[in-house]
Amino acid sequence: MSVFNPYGKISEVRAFAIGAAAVFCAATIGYFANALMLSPLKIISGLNVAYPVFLIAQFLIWLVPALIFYALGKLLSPSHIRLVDVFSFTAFAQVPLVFAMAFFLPPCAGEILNPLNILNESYLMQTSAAIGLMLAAASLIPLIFGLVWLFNAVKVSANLKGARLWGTYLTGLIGGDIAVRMLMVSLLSTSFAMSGLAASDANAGSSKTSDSPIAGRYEGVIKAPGQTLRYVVIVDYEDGEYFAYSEHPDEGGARLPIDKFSKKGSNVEFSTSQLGISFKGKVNRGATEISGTFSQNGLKIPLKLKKTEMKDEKGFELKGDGPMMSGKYSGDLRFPGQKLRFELYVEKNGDKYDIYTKSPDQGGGKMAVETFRQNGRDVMFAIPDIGVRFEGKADDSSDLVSGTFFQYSFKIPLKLKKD
Amino acid sequence: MCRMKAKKKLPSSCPSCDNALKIGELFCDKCETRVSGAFDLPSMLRLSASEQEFVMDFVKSSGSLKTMAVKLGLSYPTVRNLLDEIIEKLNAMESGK
Repeated sequence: MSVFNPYGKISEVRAFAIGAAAVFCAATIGYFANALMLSPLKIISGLNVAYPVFLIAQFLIWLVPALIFYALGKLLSPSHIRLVDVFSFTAFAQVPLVFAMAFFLPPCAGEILNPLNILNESYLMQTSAAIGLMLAAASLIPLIFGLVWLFNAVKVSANLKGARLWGTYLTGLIGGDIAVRMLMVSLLSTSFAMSGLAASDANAGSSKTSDSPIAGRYEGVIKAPGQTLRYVVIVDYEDGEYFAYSEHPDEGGARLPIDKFSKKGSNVEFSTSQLGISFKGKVNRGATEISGTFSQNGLKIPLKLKKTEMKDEKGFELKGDGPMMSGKYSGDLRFPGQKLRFELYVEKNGDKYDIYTKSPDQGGGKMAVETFRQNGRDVMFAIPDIGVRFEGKADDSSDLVSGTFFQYSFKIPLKLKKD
Repeated sequence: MCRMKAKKKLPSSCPSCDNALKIGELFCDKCETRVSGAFDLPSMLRLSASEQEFVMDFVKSSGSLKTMAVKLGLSYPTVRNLLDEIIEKLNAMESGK
């Protein structure tokens, strides 16, 4: 028995037992490393799917090529080959894959499998990327052993030589690779694995979020004494860093930066010092939910944030049968203790709109409106960066718009009249 | 002093040109009769010593490859493959006649 050909003296029962154990081990290690082996030639990471998916993948990597080897062996071999020999020896060839998968246990090794990271220059400059690359390269050694053992498994169990041996081996290896990938793609798209895929699906349509497992839009409800408020956290991951901000739909749609957002394993923490807010919790395996404790100025409330689709409300849209708003509109905002003049400008240049506000009593600087919608008589505009939102109705000529002006916790009636 | 008699191996091919050897003379140990001629070596005797031993063990195992595998400490497919090689060799010898 040589290190490259262990099949001279091993019984089929022992080979089968060790091989089956290797399949379980490789699947378990892959689960904890979050590295799914689609074939000996393809490992992907970051899917966050359930454990059975890893087990099924590992079994398919063993069974599909074994079936091909057996079928071709029956056709091409001069010997009377047995199914048990082909399957048990092919199972035994999974043993080196256990060691290959172990190299992906450190998080930096899994990250290197992400194609976005490979194309990211700033990621590649990091030490973790270098370590990840070394580990991924080192995993090739047991992987090559696995391929050599598989070759000898076919050679001995099917008693093939020369061109027949190579033809059978390559057909089983490449054909098995293709078949397993197709089967796994079908499996991954079923509801069985969907809990892990919501992260990827939610990210797919967003230009702002990356493929990081926790990027996206998370929405929950804060049930404080006397009030219930919606709370939205939008997380982005770029160049190895998290960027996040919160939105407060029931408080003027205000958008506030989150000072510190961190994720270590499944532990998530973030804070907005401006509002005295902090959160500590955990993200679930599919990154579809973050659950924990929301704290604000001593008040602690359990909070569950569920992942939702990114809402892209930016832009301007004016439609309807009657005249649309255009020109300069003025009104007065009566805050407690003061009255401030407010101006809204709706200017059209060809097909494009330039919509902005000015506050003459606060320096008169121009503040661009992020979202403006007029649908017939319904009017809405928002400047989330300063927590401003307006909802109202225009008259028939769109010369007068009456509604409510929201800014953070303020709700003020506002009439805007065209100058 | 008693000397152990060295076990001789029956050569099956010519040490000079590797051609198959034939039996030229047989003799009787008891009456010293000699028979000369040109006799072909039986196919079995043209196998290597290890192959002949394998065939003997196979017969003694009642033709069970499983028993052979246990006895030789080899895997079943390895034993099967050895047998198939011997079969192939014997078939080639027979077709070469």
